[in-house]
Amino acid sequence: MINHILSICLFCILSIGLQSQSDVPDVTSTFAIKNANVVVKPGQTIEQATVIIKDGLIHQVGKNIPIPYDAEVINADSMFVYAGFIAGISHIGIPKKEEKKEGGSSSVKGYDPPNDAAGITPEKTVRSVIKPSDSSIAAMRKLGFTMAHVVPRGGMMAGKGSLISLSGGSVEELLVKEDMSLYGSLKAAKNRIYPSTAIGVMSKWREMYQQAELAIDHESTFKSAPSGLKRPMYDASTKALYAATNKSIPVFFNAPKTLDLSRSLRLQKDLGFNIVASNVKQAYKLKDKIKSMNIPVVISLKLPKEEKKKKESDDKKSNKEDDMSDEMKKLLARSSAAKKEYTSQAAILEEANIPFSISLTDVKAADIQKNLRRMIEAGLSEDKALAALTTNPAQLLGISSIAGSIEKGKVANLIVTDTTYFKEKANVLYVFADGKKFKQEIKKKKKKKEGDPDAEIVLEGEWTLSINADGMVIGGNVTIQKTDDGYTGSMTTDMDDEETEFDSVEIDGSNVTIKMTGDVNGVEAPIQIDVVIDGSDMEGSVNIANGMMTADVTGSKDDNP
Amino acid sequence: MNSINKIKENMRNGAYIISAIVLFLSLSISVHSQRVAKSEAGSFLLKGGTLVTVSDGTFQSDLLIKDGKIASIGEALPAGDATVIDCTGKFVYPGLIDSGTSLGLREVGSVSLTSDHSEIGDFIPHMEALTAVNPNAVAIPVTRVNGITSAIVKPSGGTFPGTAALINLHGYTPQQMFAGYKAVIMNFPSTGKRGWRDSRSEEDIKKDADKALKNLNETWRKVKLYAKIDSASVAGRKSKDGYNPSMDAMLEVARGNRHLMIEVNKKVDIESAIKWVTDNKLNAILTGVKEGYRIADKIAEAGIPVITGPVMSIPSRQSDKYDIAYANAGKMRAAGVKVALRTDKYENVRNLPYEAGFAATYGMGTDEALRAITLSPAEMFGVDDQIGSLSAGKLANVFVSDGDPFETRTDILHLFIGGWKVPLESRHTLLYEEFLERDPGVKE
Amino acid sequence: MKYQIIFICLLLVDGLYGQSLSGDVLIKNGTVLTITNGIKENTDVLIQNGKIKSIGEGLSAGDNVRVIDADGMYVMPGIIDAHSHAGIDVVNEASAPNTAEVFVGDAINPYSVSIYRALAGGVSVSHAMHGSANAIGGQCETMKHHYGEEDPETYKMVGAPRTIKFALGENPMRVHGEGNGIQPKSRMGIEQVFRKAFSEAQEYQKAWKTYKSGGTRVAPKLDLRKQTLVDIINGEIIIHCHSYRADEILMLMNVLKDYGVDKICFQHVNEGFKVAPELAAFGAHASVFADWWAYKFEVYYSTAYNAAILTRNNVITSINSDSGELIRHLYHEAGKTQKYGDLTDNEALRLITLHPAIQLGIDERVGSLEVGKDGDVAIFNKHPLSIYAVAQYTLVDGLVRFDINEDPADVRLDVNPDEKIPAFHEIDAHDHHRCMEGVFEELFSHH
Repeated sequence: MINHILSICLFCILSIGLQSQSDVPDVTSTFAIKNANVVVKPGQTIEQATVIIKDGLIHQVGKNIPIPYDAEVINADSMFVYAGFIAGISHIGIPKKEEKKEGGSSSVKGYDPPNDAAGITPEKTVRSVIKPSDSSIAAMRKLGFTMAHVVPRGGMMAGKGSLISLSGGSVEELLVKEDMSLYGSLKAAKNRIYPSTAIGVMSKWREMYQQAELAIDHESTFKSAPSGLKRPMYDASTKALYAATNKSIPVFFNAPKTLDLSRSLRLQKDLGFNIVASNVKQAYKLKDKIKSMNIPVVISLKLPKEEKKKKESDDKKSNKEDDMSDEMKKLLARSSAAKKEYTSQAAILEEANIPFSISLTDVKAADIQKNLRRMIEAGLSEDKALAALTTNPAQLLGISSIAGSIEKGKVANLIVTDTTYFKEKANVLYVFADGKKFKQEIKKKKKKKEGDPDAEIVLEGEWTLSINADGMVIGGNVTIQKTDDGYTGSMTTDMDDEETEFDSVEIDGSNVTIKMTGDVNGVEAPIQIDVVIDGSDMEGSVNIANGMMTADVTGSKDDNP
Repeated sequence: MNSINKIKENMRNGAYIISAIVLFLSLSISVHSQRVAKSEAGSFLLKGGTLVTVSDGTFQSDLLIKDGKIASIGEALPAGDATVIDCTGKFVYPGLIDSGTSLGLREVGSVSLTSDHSEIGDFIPHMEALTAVNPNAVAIPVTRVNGITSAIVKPSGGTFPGTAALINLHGYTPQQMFAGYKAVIMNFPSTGKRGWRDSRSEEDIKKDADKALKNLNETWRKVKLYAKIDSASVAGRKSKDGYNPSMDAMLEVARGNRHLMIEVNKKVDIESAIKWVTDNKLNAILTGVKEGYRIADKIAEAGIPVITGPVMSIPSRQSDKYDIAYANAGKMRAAGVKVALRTDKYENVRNLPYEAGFAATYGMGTDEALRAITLSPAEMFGVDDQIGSLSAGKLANVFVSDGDPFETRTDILHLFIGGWKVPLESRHTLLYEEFLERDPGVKE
Repeated sequence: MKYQIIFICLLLVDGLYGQSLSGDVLIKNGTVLTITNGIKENTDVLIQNGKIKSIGEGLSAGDNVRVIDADGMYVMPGIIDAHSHAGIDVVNEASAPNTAEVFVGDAINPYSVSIYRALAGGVSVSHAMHGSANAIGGQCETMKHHYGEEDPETYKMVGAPRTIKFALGENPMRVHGEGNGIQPKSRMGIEQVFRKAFSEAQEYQKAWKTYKSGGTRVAPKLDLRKQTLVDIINGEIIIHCHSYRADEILMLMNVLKDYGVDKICFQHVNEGFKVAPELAAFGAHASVFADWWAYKFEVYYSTAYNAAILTRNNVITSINSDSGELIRHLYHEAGKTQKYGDLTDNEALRLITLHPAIQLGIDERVGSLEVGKDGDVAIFNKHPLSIYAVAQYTLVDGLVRFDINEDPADVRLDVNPDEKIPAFHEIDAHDHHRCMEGVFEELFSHH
């Protein structure tokens, strides 16, 4: 059903920043970005400079450069050009549905569960699970990410990570550096399968790691002097650990909380692998250890919810709930301070001279730019923020010679923005990935009709909708029922009779947000409808796949029985 | 090792003589069952002890028990045909009262079919705890040998889980044990987390609580209406519609003649409960009241009595001071609230004096803490003409100790409930007697 | 072999931590309850670099040393709780009846407020244990209560012997037999879990010995679980076994005899009093509750006189809490043995000081106030066996970790940024019996 809407929209709308699927051929692979502020690397900007791209590589950077005859020229007066961002670790391109396989059958019990039931899949490669059509690739590229270290989703040993280029295309075109890391965590198996707790996981890590070391010994002994020796027959999981045990690849360890971090550092001390602390949120608590052990750090971009700006109605409510006693004031002050501390993680690391990269594994796309700004407001310098997105991950992932800055010979991964990237209203106008140009359309944000948070609405009933995507109009029907816990409902469109059930309905006065999951070309895509209800009319927007596509929605209720 | 063997040998020799005597004396006791020796009826003169009356101060005096009552208190009382018990250097106390237990309703915690404290249903005030009390529960002798002579036994479960009763810890039928007071239990809608694993968000918790409060108000409306109809039908000699036991159980509560014991703990919930009680003009007692210290003034102002405990519990918030649960009762008392203490247990109700001891240590003081497990609950339950202090005319619920019953090294020497002299035996003491010097010992 | 080197490194690495945590304190003029050397009135205790330097009258210390005026107070060794689950994030790896390889010490949580609350009751050391879901549970951690430190490694008591949790009776039967349909479902099955584990360990040890002596060229498959059982057979690990019924206690002693294991302390051991002579003859220790009973059928026939009977029959006995609530007043729990069995003051105090130290193999370091031992001290304003006693100071390695004059209301070290104020808990399951935490709730319907 939604499938159909999208296919049609895709066909009609070319101006949205999607990989062009039309049959009009490209005419050149040479581009000239003229007269922009070129941020070569953090702290080094050339004003009114030009960047020449040729055949996917940066050909020249400088002021007053002659424009090649075959170049497509982009007049970038007063715009800013940055090196394309590199995600230190992420799940870009890996569909979420994959995760469900890992639960294991319920008949698996106790002692010796199969490895994949226990979350032990170090042999899983990004190549085997990445989907070039996954919506996250385009969504991250829109924000300026052109390369990413991608790791599979999974349990305690989820698999091997690869470096990908977000220029799209086939799996071959995506993969830049395969199997360059091992992704580990303290995640336990579900359904009381061993290991079902963090301590079980840590013991299993120790055992498997040491078994791999012994296996390597056995294999090399067998190679040199096989006579009389039992043939080595090791399973894929054990073999997959060899590269980590002989330190040829690092282990990126997921460590969001302080205790996760100290526990993974403990494992590192016990076993000796090269560790990268990933998705950390409280690195400031262990900064001395990190510094002395020289641990590379990749920080999470997900921050605690912002403090709500106090509204008039809030004050009355909170005073009714609790007296503003001294104790209460102290407690509230502590939780604010904790929020601030989490938000200042990057600034604290900067001050301690600890370089870090950025993790995208658990942050929502819509929060990325906002959270970077929050970190900068909390004390992170813009230079260091840029470094965390470019030069630091390039160094971490071993690609400094080909990426991370705007220098001749490096890959043509660039971002062009209308003002400095970290400003609130900044827009990304173009993204170059592997020298391919992606133009972004700036959607003028339609002023959302402010709904009344205290209004009483009647939501249940049958609604007829009109979905307007840049001129294309599709009709739909929505049925909403009221239950004890809230609302449920479903939606169909004029295209076919397939019904999609709502995942959730949230109401704030007359503002209604409906979330559901649709199937887009075999890939799950979240769909969100935000409308304001006015009597038996509704008006708002629909957002598909985290902003990949948006459309306007109007509707009215069938009040007739 | 040799010295140990020697000690063992000596102990064995001495023990032979003792065990022979013990064996002879205890022929009537079957050490493998829960049976204990029978209580003794009669008159008893407690001579020369220090009487801690609770109601009239502490002084040295005699106390005569006769016909089940404290017949008289005074110096140099004539013994008559009473058995004289020399209490010189000892202390005489009123039997202790635990204001919240499931004693007699539960036998083995993890075996659900031995537990009778909780029934299916949310509005079931007609479930009578008294009916389900097992007078032969093993825990009853275990409890009373520590000086506890009366206890509230209460049901638990949904919003209105049933009717609690006050019992004396002596008797062979629930009716013999019944001490003349009942109350309907209510669990006030809570906005707190149910436990460590409660992962509902703050909004969800609030939603659930609001819904529960709405249901409660609706229930109450029906209760009042039913009472009105009942009064009218009685007055006009008309018949009422149908069989409505749960509503019948609420009649006296609606009329203010029976207490509603409302379990509520979080400060905002206590405030809501106080408002609910005053708006509906109810006769209520608040129970639990873990955060009572935060609004002790309001509780005192509303004149609602409070039953709280266990004193030895973990503070309910991570940010609370470590001793706030110990100090809660004392703080409420200091603000003028009438406070009684409870253990809220079924098997270790015997620790009531230590609960009071902790409350005493952390601010309540010994006198008030003692009152909270004697006269205050008796007054709360309207049975202070019967129990709660050493006064002539009251029921002879009394014990004699060799010291302060709050201290662990103190021993209880004699115990009387309703004038019966109760043997200080329980499963625990009988097992001690059998196994202190096990015979045969280790097979060499 | 490489893995052996790793384990040696583990111990060495452990040694690097915790050495810097120590303090200097002079405690003046208290009534010192040494436990092993009688009661000394108006006596000072000097702690230097975390160790007791001297005990005597009229001691003095340097200018920068903190002085605690203990006039009118009672100075005793820091209380030791031999059975606790405070301060650890994970209690039960309940996925198999034998999980000997896991370490509870991998899950230490220095942010646990329970540790502070235990310090407020005079407890300086606790034995953080694996739960009782499995017949052979995980290895436990003897911890020093260095509340305030954020590095979990600082809690580990360096040099303390390894210990492991075994469990008999209803809990493992409930979790694996009833809950998961695998052995053990009966006490017969539990015995066989041990025999199987020990026998397989002997095979494993043989295979590695053969390899190391050159008999085979390929190392046997590494199995940390079996290796741990080998370590138990070799006397490197003290078993702490959750047990209740007399017959199962006898069963385990017989199994251990068959495999040459003799380091065991029975925990809870509610019916220990019924086989006190056998326990004493084996040399087994007992760590008991003061008065918990009737919560399961296997404790229905127990008595609060347990500790007294065991003590009188020469079994080294201690009193533990197994509860974040009870740990706060172990001094009161010990006092109950004076009511139930007339233990003397010193006998009662031993149950929470020297005896748990012996059971954990740390009695050379703690458990009494003697020169050379660790500066772990608890100071009370009244005799600790009185109900009116309130802990004033608790010292760990000479550092004052609890001071009643500086007891802040909110002792949290790590605050959840998404929580405005800490939630109110109607009931706190951390009060009692965390022994079964991590297992499906319906299996354990206690309170």
